[in-house]
Amino acid sequence: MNFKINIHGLSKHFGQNVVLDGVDLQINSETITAIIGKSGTGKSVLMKLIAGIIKQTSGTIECVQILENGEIKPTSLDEIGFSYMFQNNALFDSLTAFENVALPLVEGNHPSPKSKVKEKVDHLLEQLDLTSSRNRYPGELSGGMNKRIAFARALVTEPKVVLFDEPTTGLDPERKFTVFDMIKKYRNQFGFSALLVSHDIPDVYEIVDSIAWLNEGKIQFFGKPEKIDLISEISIKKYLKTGRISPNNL
Amino acid sequence: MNSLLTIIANFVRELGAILLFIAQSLIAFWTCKNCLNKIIQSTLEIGCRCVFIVLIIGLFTGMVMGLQMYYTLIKFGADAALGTAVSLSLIRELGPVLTALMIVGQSGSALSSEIGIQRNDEQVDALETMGINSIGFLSGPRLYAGLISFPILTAFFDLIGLYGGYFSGCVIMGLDGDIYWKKIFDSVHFVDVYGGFIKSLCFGVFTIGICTYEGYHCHLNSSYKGIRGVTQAATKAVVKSSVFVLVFDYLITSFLL
Repeated sequence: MNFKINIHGLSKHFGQNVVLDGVDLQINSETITAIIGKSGTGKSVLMKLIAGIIKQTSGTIECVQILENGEIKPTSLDEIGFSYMFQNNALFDSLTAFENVALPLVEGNHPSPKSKVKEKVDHLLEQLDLTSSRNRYPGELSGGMNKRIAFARALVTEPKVVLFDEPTTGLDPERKFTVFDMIKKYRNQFGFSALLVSHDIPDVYEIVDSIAWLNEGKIQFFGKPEKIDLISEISIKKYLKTGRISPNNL
Repeated sequence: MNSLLTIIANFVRELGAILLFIAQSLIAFWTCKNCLNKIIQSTLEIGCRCVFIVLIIGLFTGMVMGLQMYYTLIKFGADAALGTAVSLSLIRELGPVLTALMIVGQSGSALSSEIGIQRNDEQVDALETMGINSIGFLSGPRLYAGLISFPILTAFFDLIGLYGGYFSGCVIMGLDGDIYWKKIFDSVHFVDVYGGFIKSLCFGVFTIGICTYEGYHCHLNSSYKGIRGVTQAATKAVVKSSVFVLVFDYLITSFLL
């Protein structure tokens, strides 16, 4: 399915506090876009606006499906099929790892037969090294394990758009690359689009097609990762430099 | 004058919001899967959490009533009416009211905190992104569980309260046990049991509704955010539910009598 998500002039104010101030962004099918930027610049707010969890103050988010004959048909993110991986994982304490991952299949809009749910969830848990934690509760597991459970839950419905809010925060380097590899692998397998908030610069460049730099409420750079280093703006250079601490710039 | 009007307007607005939330919960719940399992689980949760405390409070309430009533009635030579006095007070008034207050204290605050934490932890948002109606999923089963468990726990309270009255009135004070039970069977009619049952149903749905409402909306509290917002929501839930129980007890009683 080919689609486009067009974000135009998106603003979000919390009282007097202007978090987003006219964001323009386009997300195409089967692309991975990373949103980078300093903490508190509204990256998670942008993700929540796209997911429809909160409402924008102004601006539009339009989803269109591009049919085989080239015709454009208005649609919604729900119809395209999306999932969201939250920054704090948002796992249910009263459910086991297996039940948390199976939740969208059991309770959500993607009902599946019991045997299929078991097969699918167990396969994902195995891929993420979580088989031994299958029947344990999030409270009994480490932060990294919980992150992987949240990751599995986001992918279990085979969505066309996945919104990842800092999917690798708190993971050791090995697990971090496992998650990045899985995002890439699943993109190739299922052909989803991903919008990814990340502070892992430059590691995240390996898997993304484009980078959006959010600063002062606006997307101030959007393009291929290799082009971001060519930007001469001081604030972006400063941000990128702090993102890549090496013995030379310490 | 203006501030009084503001208070009244806020009260009416809040009451309307709670009623809408309850209606939405009861209806949206049926869009969830495995509804029966969820109701059974929530009923067991509320029932198991509260049964012990309800039995203890019921027993001692009955015992205190047995003693107080005995000393009052014996002054008029009417100690034989002890069974009547204890049973009617318990079944009509004290049973539903004290049971509701106990459940609010024990389960209501826990419910409110649990949903508040889920709200803070973005679990409520996660449900919505999965296409699950969060109000129906989180509040619905608890409300139906309230409708089931409140009358059952009230019946336990009444029953053990009658035995408490028997213990203090007959075993300790020496009143004839046969007279005590005969007076109970003679004086308690269906309308008394029915009245208590109606009260416990109303208390069940509204107190659980208030508690889940407060937890679900704890993020809207502008003065307290995070964990403080959750504790504030739990406190508000208990206070509002308790006031509701006492005010509506009077209103329902005046309708039923």
